[in-house]
Amino acid sequence: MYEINEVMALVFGVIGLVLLLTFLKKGLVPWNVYLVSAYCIIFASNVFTVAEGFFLYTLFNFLEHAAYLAAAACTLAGVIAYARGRA
Amino acid sequence: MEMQIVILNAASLCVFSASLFLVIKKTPERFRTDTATFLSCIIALLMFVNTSNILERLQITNIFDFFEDYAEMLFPLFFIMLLNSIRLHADIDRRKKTEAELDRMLRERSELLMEVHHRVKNNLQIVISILNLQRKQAETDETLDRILVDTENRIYSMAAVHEVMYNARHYSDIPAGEFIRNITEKAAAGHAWRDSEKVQTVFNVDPAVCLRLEVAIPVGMLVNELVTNAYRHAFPPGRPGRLTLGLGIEKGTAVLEVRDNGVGIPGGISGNGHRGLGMLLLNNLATQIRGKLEYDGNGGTRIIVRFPV
Repeated sequence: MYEINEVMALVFGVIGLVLLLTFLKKGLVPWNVYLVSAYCIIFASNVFTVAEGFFLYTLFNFLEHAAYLAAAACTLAGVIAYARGRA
Repeated sequence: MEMQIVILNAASLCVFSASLFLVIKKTPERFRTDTATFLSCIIALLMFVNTSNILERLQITNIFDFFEDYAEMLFPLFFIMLLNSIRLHADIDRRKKTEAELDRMLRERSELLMEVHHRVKNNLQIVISILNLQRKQAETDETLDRILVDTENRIYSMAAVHEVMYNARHYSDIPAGEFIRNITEKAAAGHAWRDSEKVQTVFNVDPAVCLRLEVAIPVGMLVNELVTNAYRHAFPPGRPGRLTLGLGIEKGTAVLEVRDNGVGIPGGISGNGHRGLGMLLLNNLATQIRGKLEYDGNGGTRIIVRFPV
């Protein structure tokens, strides 16, 4: 069964994603592939968190936490790229 | 399974910690303070989620579990702010680069313009030198000599404006006082043979008056004509006198005044017999600067030119 705070986190994630895509499309924010990927992965982890309440708990739970590791890697890559002036 | 999740979270925590360390280390050298703040907040939020998961899975405590989702809710907000901050700094950097380029182009243009004015002045000086040489080589002929001196002085009055302009490095506002003094001294030197050293010259020029190039050259030539006329006609040989040059601003209009206490002009400037080249030039130059010539013959000659600035 789902929890309301998990759904709210997902809703905020969707709002953020819509805003992010709109800003990127209009060129209002820079296209930083690593940081945008990190955002998308965190958003996916929110989806997995909600999904695990309905079916395939073990798989989605694992994916949720694996997504965090992937997001961490993307964030580190983004930070390194930015620090080198390539972001 | 629980252990695998703990390992995953621990690994994430390590990688996030490395990112946070890098951000702190490279601020402010590579990261601007606001960018670093937003990035640190994002990383800290995700680290909090990892830590909470580890503590929960290891059954140490689950009191942070309640706040995990709040952290995830704040994440998109900080993320958008981070990207905006990066964009803002990219814009600032781009603008600074453009400003530096514009500054460089402006300096280059100024240097070029200064060189052009320098060359104009040098070329005019060459013309003056050629006329001077020709005058010295020519057989003594007072009329020819006078024509050549007048021509030299007229050319010099243009060269003097260019000289003052490139020395002052102001192309739009040329300080009038300096070139008026130079032109007057040159005109006086051209009439030294008429005991003009006995003529006292008084300058009453407002140093704040600056003129545009298209006004400065006609004004310079006007001064030359008026001073030359004063030296030539106002003071007969042996007669001492006083020549006053004034330039100021009155109610937004420039007022150029050349006054002498000489013999005056019989019949005034509009009288018959005063239709020489000098008078023609005076009228034309005054018209060129949209000026108005005024004449007063009391106690000598007083000519005033009022023109807009």
